[in-house]
Amino acid sequence: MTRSAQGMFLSQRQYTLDILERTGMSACKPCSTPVDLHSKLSEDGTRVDDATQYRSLAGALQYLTFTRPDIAFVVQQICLYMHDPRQSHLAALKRILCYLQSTPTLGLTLRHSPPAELVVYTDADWAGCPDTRRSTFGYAVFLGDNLVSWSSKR
Amino acid sequence: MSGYKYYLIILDDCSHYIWVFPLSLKSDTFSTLANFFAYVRTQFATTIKSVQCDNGREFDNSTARTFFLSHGVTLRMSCPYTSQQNGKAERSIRTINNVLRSLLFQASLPPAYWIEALHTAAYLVNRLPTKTLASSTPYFHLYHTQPSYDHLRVFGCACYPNMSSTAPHKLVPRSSLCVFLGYSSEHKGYRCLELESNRILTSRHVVFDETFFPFADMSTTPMASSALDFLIDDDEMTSSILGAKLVHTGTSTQHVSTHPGAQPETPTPGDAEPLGSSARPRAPGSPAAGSLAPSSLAAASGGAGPLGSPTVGSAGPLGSLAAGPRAPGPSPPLTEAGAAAPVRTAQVAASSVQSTGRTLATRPVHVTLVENAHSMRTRGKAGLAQPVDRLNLHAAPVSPLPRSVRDALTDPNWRAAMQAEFDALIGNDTWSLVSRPSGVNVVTGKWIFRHKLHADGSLDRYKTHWVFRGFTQRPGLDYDETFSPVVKPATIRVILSLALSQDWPIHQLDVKNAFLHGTLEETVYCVQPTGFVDPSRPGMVCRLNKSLYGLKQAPRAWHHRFASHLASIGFTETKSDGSLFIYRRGSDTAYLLLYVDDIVLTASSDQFLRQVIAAL
Repeated sequence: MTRSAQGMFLSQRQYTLDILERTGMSACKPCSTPVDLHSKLSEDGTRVDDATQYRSLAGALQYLTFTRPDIAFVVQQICLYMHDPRQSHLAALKRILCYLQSTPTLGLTLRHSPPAELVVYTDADWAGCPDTRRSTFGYAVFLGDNLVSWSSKR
Repeated sequence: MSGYKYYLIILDDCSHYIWVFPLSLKSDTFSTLANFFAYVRTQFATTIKSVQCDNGREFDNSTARTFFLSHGVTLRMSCPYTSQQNGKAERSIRTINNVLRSLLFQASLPPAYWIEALHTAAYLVNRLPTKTLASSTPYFHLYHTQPSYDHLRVFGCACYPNMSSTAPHKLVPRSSLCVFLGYSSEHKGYRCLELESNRILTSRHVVFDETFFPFADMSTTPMASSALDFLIDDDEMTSSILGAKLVHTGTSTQHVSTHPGAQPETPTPGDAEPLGSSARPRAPGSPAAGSLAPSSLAAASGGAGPLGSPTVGSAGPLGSLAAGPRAPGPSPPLTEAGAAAPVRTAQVAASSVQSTGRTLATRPVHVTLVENAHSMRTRGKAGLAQPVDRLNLHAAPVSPLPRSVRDALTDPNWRAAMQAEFDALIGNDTWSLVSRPSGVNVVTGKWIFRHKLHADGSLDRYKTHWVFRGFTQRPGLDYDETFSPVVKPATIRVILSLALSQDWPIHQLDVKNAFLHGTLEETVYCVQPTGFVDPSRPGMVCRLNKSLYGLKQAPRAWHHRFASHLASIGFTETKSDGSLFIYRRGSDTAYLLLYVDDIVLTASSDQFLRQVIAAL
């Protein structure tokens, strides 16, 4: 947490670097987006060898979403498959790590702004899940200029 | 030393020249033999006509037989259990073994160096005059030149090869103490074992001290019998013996023509040679040598001068066997490994460093010898280890993390830390000692040890905790509810955002020993801390008054206690988030977030914030 004239900056940079270090991805090729937009995760594929490691990493990334709304959606996506991770899910997880590699310093900025109003943005895809045909929706709550709450859910 | 267990002697029937080949497996015999055939063909431009050997399977197998057949070699084997028919080779083994033993004893070398001694023994025997050649030498009979004796040195003596060309800089010693280990077959130089590094150097520029045997000073241990098995076990050895017959072209053809067919015919089993005959009648070489041209005799007597020196080099060791300089010393006994395993130990390495008089900072390094059958020599096998001093600079004064409570109690640093923790617990009135009620669960505990470090990595203090093993608690009996609310992340962000927009001061508080302040609703019994059991009341158990780390309900107890305290000073708990507390009196507003033992506090003014902190 750093404070400046503009406001406050919440960052988990060291934690991000620790995750990359722990997974041996600290030298991986950086990637500019956290997710592949053209494909959706589904429940088939070969099982990953170490499901525990997958779960541990997914949990670590979930903790990272405290200050990183940009990865909230994709972390939620990989957490959907925590009970039975497949290779495609692991690939998506690695993609997030590559994204973090390129953006470890991103965080949440809270600005000086009068808390005039509470604004909520929300969206959903209609029956977007290929397996269950359930919808995924997300919302972002702004208090004045500051993002205070967000979520993505199936 | 190098995994060798056997050796193969090849003896030229005509010249009595001996070749020795160490073998790690008996099955290597054939390949060695095949190589030897090629060697003879190239070096002496002749072919081997027949091979005399015993009945060992390493000679009598299909591969070898095919080889002999395709090369037109007659294979002559002794009758079963009639090693006398292979007498010449057998006698050579005895000669070689005698010399080998003497070399080792004289130099007090461990038996592990038998390979070096074996090569040196064969080297010397080939250069010694023998009666069967009418006081001529096998070397002369094979090469037709007199061997040189000027370069012979006492085996196993101290030597100092010139090592200045490999020195890292000019100020290091130009040599170090080595042990002379024979003559190199590939180089024109001496093989020297450097005691400090356990390396073998081959050098031409060597200064010898033939009266000093470095190994005699190091060990007075009797040789391990297991290492000498190869000498005791006759069966093993005789089977790897072979007498080879070389028929020379050139001057030796004269010898062949003098006794045409004498060699191939005499040893026909059961024919010319009666069973049980000794090696003596099977020495047709002696009449042959005797009838040789007198020029060779003259040459031998002409070399009488040089012949004096080998008596120093080889007969010396033989003679001084009884009076050898094996002075008993206080050196630690060597722990001898198996026959083929490397025998040098770390103690030897250490004492050798001392004997060189170097001022090396040697601290005792514990080395466990690596033992395996692989022929590669490693430092672990040789028992070499160097203390890593640069790492030890920092670690010395810090007591390591103890592996057990017993270790910790013996360490003064940890003991003091544990005592402090125990005193704090007692001072806090954490528990009261009661006699154990029947039918209750007694929670066990353990000590946790941590190094608390400064930011620069240096030691701050030794930290110990007495914690309970929460998993030994039983639900319903020892605890009911364990849920403890934590702040929702959105709440944190809202509060921070509000504080920023109002320009309020934000303060972060950390509660020390938070869980210890929790008061328990349930009655929990636990054991007395290990190592701090009240000597007068050893059978009693602790009834907890306060919460402690490790208890399942500890976070809940703490939260409960703190929440009630906040309520008493005027904070109200919000309905939306159980961890957000709001204080509002007139114009003063304060928000307090409780995240287990971390508190974020923000208030409408600095002054008010300080008031609130004081009230907490």
